[in-house]
Amino acid sequence: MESIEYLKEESGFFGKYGGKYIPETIRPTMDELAATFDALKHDAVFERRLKEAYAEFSGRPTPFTPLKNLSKNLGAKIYMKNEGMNLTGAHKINHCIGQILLAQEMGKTRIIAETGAGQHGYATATVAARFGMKCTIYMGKKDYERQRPNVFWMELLGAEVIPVESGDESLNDAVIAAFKDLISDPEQAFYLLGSAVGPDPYPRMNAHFQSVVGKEILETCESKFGREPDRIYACVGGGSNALGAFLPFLKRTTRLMAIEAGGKGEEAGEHARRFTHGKPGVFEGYHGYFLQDEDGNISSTHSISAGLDYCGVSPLLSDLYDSGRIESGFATDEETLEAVKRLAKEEGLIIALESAHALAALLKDSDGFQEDEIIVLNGSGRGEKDLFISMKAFQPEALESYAKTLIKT
Amino acid sequence: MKEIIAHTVLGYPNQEECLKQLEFWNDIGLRHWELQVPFSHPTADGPLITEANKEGLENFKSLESLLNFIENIEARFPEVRIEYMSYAQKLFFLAGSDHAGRIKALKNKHWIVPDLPLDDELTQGIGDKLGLRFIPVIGLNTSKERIKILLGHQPDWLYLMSGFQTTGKQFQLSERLIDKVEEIRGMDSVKIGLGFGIRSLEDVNKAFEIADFAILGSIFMEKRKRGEFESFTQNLAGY
Ligand SMILES: Cc1ncc(COP(=O)(O)O)c(C=O)c1O
Repeated sequence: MESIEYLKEESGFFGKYGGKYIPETIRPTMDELAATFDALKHDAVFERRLKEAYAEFSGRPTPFTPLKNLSKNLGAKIYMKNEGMNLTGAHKINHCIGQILLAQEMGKTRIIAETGAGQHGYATATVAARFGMKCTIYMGKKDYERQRPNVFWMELLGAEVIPVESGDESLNDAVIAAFKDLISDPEQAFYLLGSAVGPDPYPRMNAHFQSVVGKEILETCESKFGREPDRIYACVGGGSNALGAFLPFLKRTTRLMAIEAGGKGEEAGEHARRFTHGKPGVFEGYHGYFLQDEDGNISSTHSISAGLDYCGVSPLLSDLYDSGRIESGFATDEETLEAVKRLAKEEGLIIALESAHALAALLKDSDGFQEDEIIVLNGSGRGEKDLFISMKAFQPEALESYAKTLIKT
Repeated sequence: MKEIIAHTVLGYPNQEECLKQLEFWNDIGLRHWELQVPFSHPTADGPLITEANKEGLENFKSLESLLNFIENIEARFPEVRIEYMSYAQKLFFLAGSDHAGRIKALKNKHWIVPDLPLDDELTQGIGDKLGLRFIPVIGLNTSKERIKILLGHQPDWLYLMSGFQTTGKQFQLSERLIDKVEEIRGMDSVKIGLGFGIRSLEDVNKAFEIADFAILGSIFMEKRKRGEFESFTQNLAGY
């Protein structure tokens, strides 16, 4: 892959953000991972294996779908990069394939991972099965319960899924549990981290593996329109899908819209708006924006989508936010559900609740669109995994009677 | 001189009991403490200490009241040597807060912060701002080159984790541990504290065969829950 200048930085610092704020016991593992990644990221053989797995296993390139009705109704040329068409239903598999290839190179035998929505865990369990490695997935108990179908798939794929009962029982606590596992087994285990967060090299490494998305967007736009898009909308949990979509455009004029979870309100614990309601902090191995209370403790978060329900945000995005290169926006739970419904009805596409945040923000901005503007929605995932959450929101009675029927029959 | 370092979390199980526990340690001659400043997400601690952090946080209305508590401890136990312990986020926050001056004014200057690497610019900035020095926490897999870098920062002593686990697991004087201590001794005269999983007087004596300090933490919490805190501690004091 063509290299992205912003990712050339091997120090692990992006502006003042990033770093490696970890216990010394996991430093050797991180140093080894960084060295392996830096040695292989542009290695022709490694790239070929990566490309092959993307094409043969996960199904790249993903479609670039015109949203015809939305375009007509909103008055712009609107397209969706459909990452939901990847194997396991989201962009997460892009960095899972990249990381498991590195784990193999490093001779590791055991994969550990955290998961929020279950998407990253599902993708991790999938690649672990495919590449023949043992796999342990940590999942906050709350997420374990609300994403039960994904737990089932992970187990079917041979992974052990451990519900984490500490803290708010959400993504954050799963990350800590996975790090603790790594602390106690640093020599055999490979921590396959699920977003562009954590200590170096994870943020820049996962951003690198995800940048295939933005490169495909750029290539398609150049061949289709002879130019780059005017805006790209992407949701931001830890930041992997947004960085993947944005990175090839940093030196161009495309407006890069980073959309966070507005949840159910502005109070602490009701949302996950790190850029506007958080401030710089040092947690889970990196320096970046974090939601925190007045005494520097990490705040709890809320989002209807487990994948955006996270206290921190990628050091790369933290830097790009400070420099003004990306713009921040948000969508509430309610706006997100409306967006899911609208895309389903108008375009025949059911997208993940995470991705629907980006769509909801796009819809809110649409008054300012021009006819000839090219707007790209990064559809990070498909919505089937959200079946029960969406059903509960749209047709609670139907869900209840279905649940009863299931138990009876 | 060999010393036990007794660890607890500030404000655990509540302010009054926490003080009583310190009083007890002081009375029986355990006068070297590691006091943990509670944080919402103690990333490298086992379940008991994690729970104690939560209780500790709940028992202080704010950082203001926690700082009052710390200042009171320093005034009340002038003979005791204290290392404070917390996590990067807490220290980063303190350095940028109005409380920085109060931390700087504390008598005990050494902090154990497992996720702040000593050779990092941000860490050094925090150290300067808060007028404190860091004790590195290393493991059996920390390389000689890395230890050399850390020792270059002239820490007061070195915290060596006895094995690969979070706090609260079994203690062993493994060959690898003995080798690591020898390696460090061969490099520098720095004092070595051994921690993680030390649970009895027997473990303490084992630790003393190779190290200068034996650090005990979650076992005190375990004994407290069983109502055996005082008898256990008394027994230890005879080391
Ligand atoms: C479909 C989908 N989109 C987005 C995210 C958010 O993660 P990130 O910001 O790393 O892309 C997740 C996380 O689980 C997800 O499953």
